[in-house]
Amino acid sequence: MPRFGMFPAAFGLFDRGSTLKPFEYLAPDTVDEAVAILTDNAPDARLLAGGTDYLVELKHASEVPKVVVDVSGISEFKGIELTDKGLRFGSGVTHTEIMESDLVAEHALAMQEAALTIGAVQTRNLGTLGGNLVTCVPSVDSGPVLIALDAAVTITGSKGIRIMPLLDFFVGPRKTALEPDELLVDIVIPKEMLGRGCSFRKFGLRKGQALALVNTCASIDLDAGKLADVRIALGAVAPTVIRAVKAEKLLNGKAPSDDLFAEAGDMAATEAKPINDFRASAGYRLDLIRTGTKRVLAEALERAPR
Amino acid sequence: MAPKVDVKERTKPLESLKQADDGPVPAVLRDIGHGLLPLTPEVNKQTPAVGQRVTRPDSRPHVLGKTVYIDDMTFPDMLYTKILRSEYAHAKILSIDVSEAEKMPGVVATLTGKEIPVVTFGPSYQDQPLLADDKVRHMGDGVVAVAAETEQQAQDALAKIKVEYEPLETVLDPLEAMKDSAPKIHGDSNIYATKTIKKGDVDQALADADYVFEGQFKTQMVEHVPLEPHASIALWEPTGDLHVYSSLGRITLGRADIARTLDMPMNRIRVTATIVGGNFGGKNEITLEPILALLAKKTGRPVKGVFTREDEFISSTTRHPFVMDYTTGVTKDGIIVARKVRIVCDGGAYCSWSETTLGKGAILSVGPYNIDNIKVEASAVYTTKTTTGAMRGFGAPQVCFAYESHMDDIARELGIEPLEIRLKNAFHEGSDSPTGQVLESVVVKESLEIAAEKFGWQEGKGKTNSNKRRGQGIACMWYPIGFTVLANSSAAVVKVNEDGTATVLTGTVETGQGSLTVLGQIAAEELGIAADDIKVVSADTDTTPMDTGAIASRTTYVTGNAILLAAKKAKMILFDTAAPMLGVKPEQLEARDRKIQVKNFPQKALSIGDVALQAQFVNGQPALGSASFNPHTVAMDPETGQGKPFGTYVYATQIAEVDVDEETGEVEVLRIVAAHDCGTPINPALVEGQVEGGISMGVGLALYEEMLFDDNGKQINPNLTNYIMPTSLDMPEVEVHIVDSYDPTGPFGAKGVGEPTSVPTAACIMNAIYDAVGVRITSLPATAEKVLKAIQERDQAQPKQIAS
Repeated sequence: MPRFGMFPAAFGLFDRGSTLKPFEYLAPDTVDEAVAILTDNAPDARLLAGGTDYLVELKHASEVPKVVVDVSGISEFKGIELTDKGLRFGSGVTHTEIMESDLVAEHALAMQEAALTIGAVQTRNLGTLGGNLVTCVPSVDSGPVLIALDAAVTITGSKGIRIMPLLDFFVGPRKTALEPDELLVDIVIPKEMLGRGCSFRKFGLRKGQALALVNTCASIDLDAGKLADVRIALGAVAPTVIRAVKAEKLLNGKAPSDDLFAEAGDMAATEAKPINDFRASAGYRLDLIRTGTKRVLAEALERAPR
Repeated sequence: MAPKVDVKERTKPLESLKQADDGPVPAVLRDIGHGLLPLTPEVNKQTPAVGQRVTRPDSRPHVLGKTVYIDDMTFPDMLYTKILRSEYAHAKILSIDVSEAEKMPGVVATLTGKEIPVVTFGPSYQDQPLLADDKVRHMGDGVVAVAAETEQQAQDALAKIKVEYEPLETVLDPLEAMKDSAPKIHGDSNIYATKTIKKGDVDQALADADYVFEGQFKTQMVEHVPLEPHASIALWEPTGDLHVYSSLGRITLGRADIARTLDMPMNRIRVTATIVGGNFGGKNEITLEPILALLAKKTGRPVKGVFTREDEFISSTTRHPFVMDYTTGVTKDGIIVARKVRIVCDGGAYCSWSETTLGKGAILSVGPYNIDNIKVEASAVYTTKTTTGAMRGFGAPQVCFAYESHMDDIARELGIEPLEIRLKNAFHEGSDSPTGQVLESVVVKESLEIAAEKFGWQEGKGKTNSNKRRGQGIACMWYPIGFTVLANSSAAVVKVNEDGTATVLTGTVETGQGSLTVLGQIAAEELGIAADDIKVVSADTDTTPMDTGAIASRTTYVTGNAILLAAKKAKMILFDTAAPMLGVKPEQLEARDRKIQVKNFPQKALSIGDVALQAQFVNGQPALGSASFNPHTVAMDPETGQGKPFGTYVYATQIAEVDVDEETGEVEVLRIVAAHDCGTPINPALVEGQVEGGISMGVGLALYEEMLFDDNGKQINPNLTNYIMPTSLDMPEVEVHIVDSYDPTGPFGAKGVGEPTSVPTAACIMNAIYDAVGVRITSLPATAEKVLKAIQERDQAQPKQIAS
């Protein structure tokens, strides 16, 4: 049976000195229950996983949704495992679990590099991979590595299950391909992408708890000493995570060199449309794309099996 | 005068402390409550008390989450307050209509400025309204306060208040604000304070100098960002007395401001400071207290008000941006012969502590150097921006950044090593300060030498590492203890209990620095007992004596001296009691190791408890002392600034090692070695804590923090997402060395250490950046983007040449 109650009163958290407004709180144990609740209540329901984004939003929201559905207790959303399809992350896996996973260290090290840059220890302990992707801000830190490793997402809802590339899942700022009655079940990095040379680098205004100015990630294969199937993903430089396809094209089939990587960095900068704001100028962000792309390519090369 | 106390060098290096931290963490058992078990560390029971690494009595409740801050406090029927703030940075208020807001659910009362008996306040000029009634001068000005049953209801009601404004022209740049054509914010001039210091003949000396160097330096506006925002609760006792609980850092003067604005006698007002969750100078001023008092009076119910983080940014005080022009004449040997300084201080919308900050900044702007010919001209200017006021360092971090950057530029041009040029010019014992004060306990050279030795300072050390280039930078400073000229006294009471333990009453406030621990150690030392034998009762205007407050790095020196004198009086009663018991004269006695004993005959002794018991219950003369202390100062001449503005000064040097990424501009501060003088370190662990905390503020000022405004004077980043402060990951390794010194006017030779710790950090980091990549950052903060731009400009100006 789902746990339910009025949040936050049910948790003894409500007091008169709080600006958090009451709402109905449901915590299903299974995906089927969650889908049923969403089907009944969409679009007046919101999902809560780690709560690191949503609770902050709720605290300052002028209106609260009719129902908040806490999916953190759903067992199908848990776990990191190697399947015949590839490396599977349940959508409820926390960033800390990713950082501590031997499987991830062995097969997709850059995922750990990205997880380490998310928020603070507390955020990483609570925040989930699925939550990070579904929130879908342009600077989503988990996005670039997964896209550079061609990850696919599994979505479930009242009409059944869909699988799509993560690149298509990201539709726009804070907008994903999820329908109101759908949930993100898992994320799979395909088998053939595991263990390839991959590197991630985030640029922020400081080291700890930084919002990305630019996220860069590259993954490569080597074919007889030549670069093959290069994938470059850039975050925070366009409405959603993008692939620098021209830069990839420039690299494929060529022998790696520092000059070539610098040229690819310049090319990647022509493919991005970073914003100009008080955090940094567009010009500085372009400098970071050039440098970041060059560096993640060089590191991906170092990590590539020969 | 008390004998000099030997203080042991730090026995545990940072590495071993870190190892201890890495060990297994003992589980906190829920059923031990909040720790009445005998967990007092041995060190708290040691005598002599001074020089011990005594632990803080408040650390255990802090760690257990049991400390009660204002936000944790509640009273029956308590109401919550929210403040409606201005929509404009500069506007006339034409009308205020609260009728719709008063009809909102849960709203019990509203308050406007017209209802406040005396609406303005301020430490120098009373130019700041508690709630603006005729004009708003920055976006943070409060206009209406609402009290409601819940915080949310108060918040919701704000939207229903109708305020009609006539917008006026804004002025955001202090240099613009100085022009005749600028809109006037108060009265008919925006320049509201000027300070001049003159010594020798600066123009002649500049004309005669071998070389003359010029430089302009600018700093930014930053916030204190205490974890606990400003908070208070006001309630009226059935007797008609007002009781205010507040996060104020200075309750005596806070009560005076509350009494003045409410037009009430002081004896009817009780101000109790709670444990303050961070101050850094930002809690020296009243904010909500009189507003809550009036709302409580209107409603007959207790009223609480807690600033949001945005309130904290937009309406509390901040650090002054300075524009500083330096002209320095030097001989070819690197001896500075003349220095001219012009400072323009962005004083924000109200004076607050700007007038005094300007004075301190002007005196310190010359640097800790012997210069015979000086002219400093400093002005504070109103702008339609957030109020600037007291903040850790009080003008010193700004001028230190300027004079120490300038010093490195001079050294480089003359081909003199940065450490050497400082040693050549630095103050020595008996140096004549810019105001003509003869300086004592001067250890600036010692601090330079210790920092250099511990850092491993040598010219041209380790330079490059792939894209990153390594650099080292040095900066030294001087800093005064206590107010500039103004009286800033403290009074204290020391009561010896009949078992030989003692209670100290002081009006100062613990704002996180560990001051009550230090003050307890001073009292314990004088009475010959241990820190654990003392209880310090503080910060309640009804029960504790006058104190100027936790400000100006003065607590150890001024309050400490008052407590020392009060303890001495109590001790005299113990000596008078013990003398006939031991058959000697009182002058032959000393208090040591919890005993009153005959000097040089320690076997002839009585326990302090036995003596106190005798004094209290046999002789009927309890051991009690009260005293006050005020530093000796001489007023400054208004024309030349000559005088003795401060009781004493401290000196320090910090050296930074940085890596600069030439392709991204990112600066990583790897380590900072700090050598600080504080006179006798009463508690070396707390000195180290102050230095580490001060450096974190200095790193923020150097590389990250800046309050940004749009063209209308609205803050762009009033939140912790976009106001970038260093996190633990951004902090360098900090190595603290305490420079040996002894000030004969301080308690057991102690001076102070709170503010100076944040002063030289930005300067040494900027010099390290120069050393690494050859670019001079003249405006703070040195963000990665700014550093990269400077590197790109360097490369365009000198293609192919690689900076040294």
